[in-house]
Amino acid sequence: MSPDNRQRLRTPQGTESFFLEEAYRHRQLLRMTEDHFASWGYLPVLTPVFDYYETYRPLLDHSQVERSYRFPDREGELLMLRSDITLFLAKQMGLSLKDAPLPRRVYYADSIIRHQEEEDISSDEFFQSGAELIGMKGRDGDLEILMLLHDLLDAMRLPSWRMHIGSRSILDAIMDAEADPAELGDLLEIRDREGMNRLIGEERANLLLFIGTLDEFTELSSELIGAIGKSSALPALTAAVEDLKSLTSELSATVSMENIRIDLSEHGGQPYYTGFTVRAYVDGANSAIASGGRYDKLLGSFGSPSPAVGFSLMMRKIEPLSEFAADAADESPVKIAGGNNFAGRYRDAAQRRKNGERVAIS
Amino acid sequence: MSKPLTIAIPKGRLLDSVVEHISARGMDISFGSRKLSAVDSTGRLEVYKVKNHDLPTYVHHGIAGLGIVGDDTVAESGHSFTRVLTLPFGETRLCIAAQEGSLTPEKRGGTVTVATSYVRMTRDWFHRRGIPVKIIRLGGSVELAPVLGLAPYIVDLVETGSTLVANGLEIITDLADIKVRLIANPAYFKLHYREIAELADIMTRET
Repeated sequence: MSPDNRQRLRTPQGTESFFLEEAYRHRQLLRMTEDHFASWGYLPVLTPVFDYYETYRPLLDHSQVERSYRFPDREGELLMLRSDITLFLAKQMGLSLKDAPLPRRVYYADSIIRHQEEEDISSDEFFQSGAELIGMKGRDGDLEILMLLHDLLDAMRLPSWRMHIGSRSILDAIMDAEADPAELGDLLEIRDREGMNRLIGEERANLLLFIGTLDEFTELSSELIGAIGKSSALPALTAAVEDLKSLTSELSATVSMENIRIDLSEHGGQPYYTGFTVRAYVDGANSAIASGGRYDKLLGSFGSPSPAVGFSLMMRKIEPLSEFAADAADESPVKIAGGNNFAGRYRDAAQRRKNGERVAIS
Repeated sequence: MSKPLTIAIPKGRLLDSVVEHISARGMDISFGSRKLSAVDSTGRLEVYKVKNHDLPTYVHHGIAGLGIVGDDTVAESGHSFTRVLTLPFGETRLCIAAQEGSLTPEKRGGTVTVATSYVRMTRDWFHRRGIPVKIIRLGGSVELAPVLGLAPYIVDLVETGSTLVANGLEIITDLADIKVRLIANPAYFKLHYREIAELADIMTRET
């Protein structure tokens, strides 16, 4: 290969392209996901690839700012590439839903761009698909989103997987006035018991670090709250714990809890969550494959104060693990049409395609 | 027993202490000649011996679900892990050092030049204090830098301080206490939290 060709074939760190069977598997899984959303009454939305950075700056934490790609436009305005579809969607919905009847159910499937560390083998470009239920407050909305996610994960036929349900309200209620919420969020994210004991005390840390089944949560939550003792935060904390207990109990009336855990260290990561949060994990993926929750104030930042709840899935992490995607790629090989000339082969192919075969003319 | 938990342990200064700590709690680890992986005598752990610097990468990608590593290595990797347990050995300090009688970086004023292998932690420490800093990355033997005039300050791990003294250097200030932790890939932790809690119980047992 000539030096010129070698130069042309270099690819920047973090870019990714995928072809043929892998791309087919990607499309098939995406189609199934979109069909799933559509069958629940959700409609597609598309968000812009870039937008003004200043619009989102107050809603981004330090690490999100660090990982975002920003650049000036020709007039010198700072723009940001789409790094989180929920944020970009919130603005679009804020603009378009002002006088629309609610609730609205929407879904999306698109790329997001975030910087990863150099040694990271994943791409900087992620394919995110998700659903948002806008304008529905309360329990039914929460349950709908949790079941929408549960049924979708089930249909993907993943190896050992779990949904971990937590609560941003519990974290907010437990905060001391003097403790820094961002610091507590960071400590909780890595389950740093020593750091949390220092910041909020051992008893509160014990509650936030709870992880277990619904039965264990039901059995232990009163004891964990009781250990905290008298506090001005207690009424809000008790209400938030009871709310989560009631949500997950109602969920258990609909679905087996085998793949579901209550995990109070799950606070959503993003600062815009206000109620329950959820993340999904699967054996073989090195990070959560889905995350979401309730965020009732985010759309208000864009002029449309509607409650909202939803989740997003990291599709490229799911594809290599999904049996559905593997079967979709295997089950229908491309066959070659028969015939003595092009016209004959064309007719043969057209006939066989009507029977569901995938047929190439030559 | 179910599938063993996967754990990466670091070659280098911590290896003997790690193997001794685990073996003393009934999980004997024996690597065959030149072999870099082993299963402990109870079948609870599948152990990978990796370079200290690479350990966070293996755990981040879930190749090993767990790892035993110092705070410095985690901080320099830029990755975030679940902290399962602090281990009772290998504790050390990350310090700024300079030739005896040197001013502190704050008092010296202007841009401070520092030679170090700990670029991220050094940069963060100086940035948090608003002190302009120029960092020269070195792979090791950083004590030579002030002696040979490459940089007036170094940032390095200090255990006894005898290498500093031998090169005419002294500690100016501590940056951080460095502890050795059992860490987990966050997704791996979520799927194996019960088994990991059992392991943590065993690892904290008195012998």
